[in-house]
Amino acid sequence: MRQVLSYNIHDVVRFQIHRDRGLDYWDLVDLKFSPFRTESVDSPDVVLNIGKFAPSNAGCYVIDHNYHIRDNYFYCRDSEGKASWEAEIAGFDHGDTTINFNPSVRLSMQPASLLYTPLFLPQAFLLRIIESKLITKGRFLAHAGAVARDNQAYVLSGRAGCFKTTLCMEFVRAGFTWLGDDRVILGGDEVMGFPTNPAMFAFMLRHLQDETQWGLLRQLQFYAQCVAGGDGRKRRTAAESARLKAVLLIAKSAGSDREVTFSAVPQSRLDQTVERLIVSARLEDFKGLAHFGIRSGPFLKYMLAYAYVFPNSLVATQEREAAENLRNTLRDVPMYDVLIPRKYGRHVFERIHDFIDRECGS
Amino acid sequence: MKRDYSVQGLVSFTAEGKSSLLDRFLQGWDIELRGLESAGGDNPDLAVTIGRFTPDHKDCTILDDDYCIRDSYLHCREDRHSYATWQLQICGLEQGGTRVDVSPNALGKTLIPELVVNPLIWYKLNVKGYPVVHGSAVSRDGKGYVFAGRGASGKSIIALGLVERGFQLVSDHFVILSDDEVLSLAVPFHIMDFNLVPLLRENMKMKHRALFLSRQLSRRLMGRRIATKILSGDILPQALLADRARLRSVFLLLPRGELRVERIDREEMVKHLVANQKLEFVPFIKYMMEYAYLRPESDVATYWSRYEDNLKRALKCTEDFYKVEVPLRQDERTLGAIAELLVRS
Repeated sequence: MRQVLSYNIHDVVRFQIHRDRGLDYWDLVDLKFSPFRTESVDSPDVVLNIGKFAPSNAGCYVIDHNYHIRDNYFYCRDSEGKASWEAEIAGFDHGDTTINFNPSVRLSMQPASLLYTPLFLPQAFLLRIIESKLITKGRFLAHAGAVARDNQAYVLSGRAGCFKTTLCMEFVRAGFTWLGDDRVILGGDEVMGFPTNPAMFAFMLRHLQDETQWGLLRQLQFYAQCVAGGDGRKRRTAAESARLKAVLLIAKSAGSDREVTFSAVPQSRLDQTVERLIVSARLEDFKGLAHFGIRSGPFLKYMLAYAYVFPNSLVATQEREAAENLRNTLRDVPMYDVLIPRKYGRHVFERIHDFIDRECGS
Repeated sequence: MKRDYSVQGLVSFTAEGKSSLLDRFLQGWDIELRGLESAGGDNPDLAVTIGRFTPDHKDCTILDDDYCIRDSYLHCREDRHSYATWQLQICGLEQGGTRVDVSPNALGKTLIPELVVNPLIWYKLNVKGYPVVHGSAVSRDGKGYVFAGRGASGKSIIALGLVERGFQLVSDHFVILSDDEVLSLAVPFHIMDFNLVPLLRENMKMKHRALFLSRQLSRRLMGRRIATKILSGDILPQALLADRARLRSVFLLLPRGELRVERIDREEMVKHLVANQKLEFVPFIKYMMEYAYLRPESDVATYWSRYEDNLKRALKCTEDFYKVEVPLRQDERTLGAIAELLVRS
């Protein structure tokens, strides 16, 4: 029995996930894209099929023994760590896209691989395709959090471990609205929400002071609540948008200094800031699945292999287009480098909050 | 034990590390580098030390909880590739005398030359204006022909097939381009069951045969392919080898169905070669990206545009660029056809 889930991201990108009924146990916890869930969508930009499929990979170039590539098409069998999978992407470069993803679930000493191979991996690939779609539609899926007040959005960008989620939680407690703590969509003069895993965020908001307390015990408690029908079911956090007010580029200092320092990034460094945001999104190819032992950046390799065969394709030139979109969005927007101490303390949030009030007005 | 190496006199480096029993079975951790050994000089461009080290985090910024970065410095607390793990520190990344410390586990050590040292050598060569291309090269009458391609595109098989037909081997696996020349970059052949061409089989010495058999056995037992690594000078007679040649043609090998040759322009070739080299830089490219995130104006961040410029300059001396679709398995007929093509050009 197949199940069809439909999603609409701000009327910009629409997609569907088709999967076997047996996989819906994951909804207890949450689907990454649940805030965008809708009854149905017409002519989706992307369809993700999870389950067995028969690849139609005739007439392909074979790159590195493994990547089957022809115009607008990609297929491979791949594995890393405890996960192995078979993926076919028709419409890899342009037009509507269909992803066929077959997780091969092996019995292993790590029961978690039963969960992440059929669920996280295809979602991660789907996210990359959504990222491409957004670029062709003039937007950019940034690896950043964002909060808003009075329709003014503040983007908090930074690599993993710089307390984006904690800061978002603090801002929400202080009355801001949440647009996302890991990804947001930038485009035009606005920030569109991309609140992934809202149930998890809601749980953390209620129970944790900061993300360092997100230990095993708390996680078990979270899953228990989900199964009991608590937080996990409330997954329709509104995804909204707001005008882009300022961008904070947060990084953590290795020193023992406890201070938070701010420095304005001049518009003359717009190109470099754009470069940083693009590199950060790309680094997620290595970091995004690292928890699951997948660190070699499989999707980045797929895209590079495609760009190698078709160097004039959209896939190959996408980064330039993304840079153009971002330049337009960030032009004349105040940007700040924020250096925070290695150990999180509440004063970090307070300093940033004060800074926003003072520098950016309200 | 510290050894000195030189890449065509363009980049010099030293490497230092102890060999364990496991390394010996894998032909020594430094087998990848052995072809570059040379008499020592002063001020190497790169000094690699394998062993414990104490990182210095002064004035660093932490990224992804694993990286500590400041100007010209990067420390990666932990990186892994299946069961191999290592931590690494690069000092003077953007300066002349770059120092690299790597502390790997037993399995990690054998991967360091390929995953860390090789990319750093390519990096240094590019900084000095010599782009490295992932491919093999042969020559005849001083004219050089480069076969660039990804893994399993048959570049080695084609190059060696041409050597059997009277060409000389300039380089296998990687080539260096300079203004109008193609230079060899001496890395060992990676011999496996599928690329053991007659020329290599016939020239293998007893100890190489024994090594090869032991690896075949380990493949049976563990299901894992391990390459037998032999330097070209240890297996092929000197007469079949050339150190450099004037660049005449570049062929991009793309495995598909039938043999098909299409002439392309320089710009197109450069684009293919840039993507080819980027793929070759994974996973090292990750360190470059982490550094570029903090220093978007640095040489590291602008590396690929300079690589592209260097390629364009190095390829200026010829107009002879071909995209060659080769069959998925190379046979004598393909080789013959390619040899004929070369003779005609």
